[in-house]
Amino acid sequence: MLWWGVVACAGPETVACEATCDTLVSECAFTAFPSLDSCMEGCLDAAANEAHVEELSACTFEASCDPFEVIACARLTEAP
Amino acid sequence: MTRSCVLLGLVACGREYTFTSLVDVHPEEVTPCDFVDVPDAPGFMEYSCNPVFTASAEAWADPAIAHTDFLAVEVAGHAFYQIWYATGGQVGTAVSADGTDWIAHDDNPGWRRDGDAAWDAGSIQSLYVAWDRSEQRYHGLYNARNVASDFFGIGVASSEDGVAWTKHPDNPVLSNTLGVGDTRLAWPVSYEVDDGLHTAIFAAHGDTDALRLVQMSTFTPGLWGVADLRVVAEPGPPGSWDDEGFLDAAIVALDGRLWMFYVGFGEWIPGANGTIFANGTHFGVRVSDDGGASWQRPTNSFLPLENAPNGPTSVAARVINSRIHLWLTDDYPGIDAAGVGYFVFEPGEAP
Repeated sequence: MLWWGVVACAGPETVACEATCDTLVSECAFTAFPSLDSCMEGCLDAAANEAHVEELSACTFEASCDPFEVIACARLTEAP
Repeated sequence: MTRSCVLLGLVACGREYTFTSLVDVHPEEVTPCDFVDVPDAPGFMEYSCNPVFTASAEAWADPAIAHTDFLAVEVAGHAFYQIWYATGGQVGTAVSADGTDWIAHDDNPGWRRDGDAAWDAGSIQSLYVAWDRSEQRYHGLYNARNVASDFFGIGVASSEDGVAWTKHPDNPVLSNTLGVGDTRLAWPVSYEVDDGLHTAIFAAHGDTDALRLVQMSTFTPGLWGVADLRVVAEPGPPGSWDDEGFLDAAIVALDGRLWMFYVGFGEWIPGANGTIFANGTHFGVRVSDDGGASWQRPTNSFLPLENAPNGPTSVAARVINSRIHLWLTDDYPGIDAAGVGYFVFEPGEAP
């Protein structure tokens, strides 16, 4: 019997948010986020409101956990 | 961030005063200490480890904080915070991921004194910071004093990073002698930039020394005119604790209602050369259900709050999802100079 598996691919926003939250929560441990799930929920909500989460992901990675730089990233990529 | 206010014309409708996210984090979920109810102030909770900020740890800063202002920034749907604090005529900045643990910038102070002869050489008495998303820069509005000449003026400045500031070459743009029409301005109490429109609320003298709040807007930073001046609020009735008006005020909108959190006072004390200084400050609240046309004290008693001996000097308020976050500069137990305390207000708990 052949089973057909459907592989669901995460959209670009989800991938970007995963990377962003991995940086902000797992690596930098910023206390703004109660949990990784909370970060993901907030990030995806921001994406739904047209925030530029892919740019945010790259920017926060480059910020190297500097909170001033993280804030600058957020301002640069916020929704119009 | 989304626009949460449909009331027209009042500064509280601006995007920098509010953000909404699906993730409505209670501050207790992210802060080391908890929040406790404030007696006789329904809906108010005080951070049990106040104060959350003092400037005393930095070598350049005077222990006495003259004024503070705050912005909340949305990072992946969660709030980060920025503070600017004026002390000894200079300004520093710090950031926090939870509103209690602050990291000062290594390059503080990025706003420095210009020398003893400068009009603002004495002290910065109040400072407000607005984020201009269209220009991607910060704008500052402040009032300052030259002690030697007893000159009081109002100036503007701008910054790309919120750290290093450039003052406007035409400062002071307003002063106690350069009024706006017949209106004698005392000091600013709020500032916002939205789609290029610079809107500020000032405490201003009416026919007496008592201070009302007036709002003006301009597309040219610092160039306010009387043509669009509108009165926002009047001082308290005669005999009340705030019958001489406002030292500071923050107006925000939540759930269709405007909330004014303010530092009011009821007494002037004389200084040198005919100057007068506000005295006897208390923290109070007013509400408006008609878009700011009129203000009332809440139905239950919001007793004015005061920490002895000197009383509060400034208040900032930001709406973050379902709550209003406030920072009150005042004297707090255990410190020798003013500090900033963190409060949260939940309107649903207030009558």
